[in-house]
Amino acid sequence: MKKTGAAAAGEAKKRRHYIRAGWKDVLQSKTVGHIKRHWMLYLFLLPSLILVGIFSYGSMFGIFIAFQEYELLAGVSGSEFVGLKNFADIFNAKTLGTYRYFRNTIYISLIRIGTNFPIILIYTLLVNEIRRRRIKSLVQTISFLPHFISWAVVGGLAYNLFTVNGGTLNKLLELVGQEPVFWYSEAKYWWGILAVSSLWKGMGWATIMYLSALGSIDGELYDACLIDGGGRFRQAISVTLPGIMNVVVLQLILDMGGIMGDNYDQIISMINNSQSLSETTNVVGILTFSAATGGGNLSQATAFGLIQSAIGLILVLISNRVAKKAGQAGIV
Amino acid sequence: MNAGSRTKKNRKKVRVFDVMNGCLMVLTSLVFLVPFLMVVSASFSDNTALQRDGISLIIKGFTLEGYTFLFNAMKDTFLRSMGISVFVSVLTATGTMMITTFAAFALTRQILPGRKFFNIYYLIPMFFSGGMIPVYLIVRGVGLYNTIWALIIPSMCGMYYILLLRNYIAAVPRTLEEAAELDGANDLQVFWHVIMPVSLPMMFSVWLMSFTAKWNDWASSLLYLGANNQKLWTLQYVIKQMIADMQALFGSTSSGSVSDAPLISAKNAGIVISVIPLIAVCPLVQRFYISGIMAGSVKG
Repeated sequence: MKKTGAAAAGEAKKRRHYIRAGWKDVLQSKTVGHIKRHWMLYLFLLPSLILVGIFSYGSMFGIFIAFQEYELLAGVSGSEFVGLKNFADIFNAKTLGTYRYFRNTIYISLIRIGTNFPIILIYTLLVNEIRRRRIKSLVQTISFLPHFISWAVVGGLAYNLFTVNGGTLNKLLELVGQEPVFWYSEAKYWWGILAVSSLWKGMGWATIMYLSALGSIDGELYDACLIDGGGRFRQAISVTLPGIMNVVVLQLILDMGGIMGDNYDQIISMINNSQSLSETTNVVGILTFSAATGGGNLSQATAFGLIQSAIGLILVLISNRVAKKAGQAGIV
Repeated sequence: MNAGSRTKKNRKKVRVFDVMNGCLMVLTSLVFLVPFLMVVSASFSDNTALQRDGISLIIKGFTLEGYTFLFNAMKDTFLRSMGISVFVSVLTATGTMMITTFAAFALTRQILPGRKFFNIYYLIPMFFSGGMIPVYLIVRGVGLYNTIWALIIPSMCGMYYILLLRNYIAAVPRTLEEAAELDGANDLQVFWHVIMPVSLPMMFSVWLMSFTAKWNDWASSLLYLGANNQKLWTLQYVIKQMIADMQALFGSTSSGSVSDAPLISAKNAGIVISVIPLIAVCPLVQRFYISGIMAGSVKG
């Protein structure tokens, strides 16, 4: 729509007037009016703004020490700036075991996702097939239990299974005539043990998302399948699975985005201070954690962590993009 | 005739499947439960029997020695850490619930000037964080290090909880708020009389979830407290040390003879006590959280 000359001139005049306007006019503008009327909302936001500001955004600035030779007593201002030296060290020096830290991080994630993902899916479908609602709810409650237990306690439960003196697993091995295994000194078993313990702890809880998607499947679809002569197996394959496919795909993509993440809490709790397992269980998170608690090289550890979270961020963004391309909602 | 025989066959197949599935569910449920039952049995068993034969599902020589040991010989470590854990977890959960509900309420108000900016402000930390060591240095920098507040304040604002609550509150019909505003209610009154009463289930699940997370957190005690600040150790950290080396923990924190102490029973008794509140929490979360995300997901 074309504006008439007079109207345009009037508008320009108004704008000029606005520019020339003093603080009084600013105070009468719409936004300021809103702020004045709804100042309480900022009070509602204030505590979280401060906490997030200090601990989340503040710590983002703390990344600066990855580019320093940081010393705790000297502080950020007193420590020497060394540029990319810490990163160069990580990628050059073999003594740091860089390769091993990243390899273990990625392998542990991949084995966990590869085993847990399909088993959880099958378990969800089977739970869904339980006919009595009461029993279904009971099974679910039991399966949720491990989710609420700390890894420290899971480490204690696992110790009862793995210990050489009277551990349950070795007693079972003895029953079938096998030699006992020294679980806490055999590094080769631990990728498997970590995957199984993740499954035990997370399986029940992970079904929630799928089951809530199952609830939204149209019941008429099942009836239609039944009329066509489909049994329960057929129904599970032809109705249930397609019905939750979007959630399955989304979950898989999210999992892939988290490959660079590691669960140092789980690993430290499970390995029970055993030094001989470091070959397969040393991950980036353990390196950072022990640097902070045991007086290690803080700058180096921060650089390690920064590489990890940068790659992690890229993976999450890529997988989010893929999810959107695949027609899913994505996470942002 | 033909169709009849088919359904009969189907029905039989279905029954076989139900039985097999039932067996499988019992089996998996046992896999979830047995490790807990073993700990319970060990906590009531005689220590020398445990040393000799290892742990099993059957209680050997019933005794309360493990529990009495924790509450007498290890009173200073164990009982104290329980108190610390209750204080820290309740305060963290209550603080988190209030702070995140306030934030979520403000973010759902369409009228909030700068709403877009604030949404992004809370979103970024979900995807990128400075990492463990920068946070550790911040805790030192603001003077929380080696105080009980280091265990509480840094974990009082979870972005994920804000997201959950925001979706939940966004599903509340706008007409309710508008009606209150027509009656001249200000933001505080809208929150207090309209939003909060309907958000209570989700607020309660946020409380439960952050309580659980804090109760289970042992790493903060190690990170944010000085090496010898035993007075502030949380229960989980004590449990962690008990599992790793009960003898060393007992030797360093208590006086008394180590040789005849029921260390294995006591360790398992400690685990049982630390798990009790969580077993109480589990069905509550099932009830409130799951109905909460269902309600939130309808519109959010």
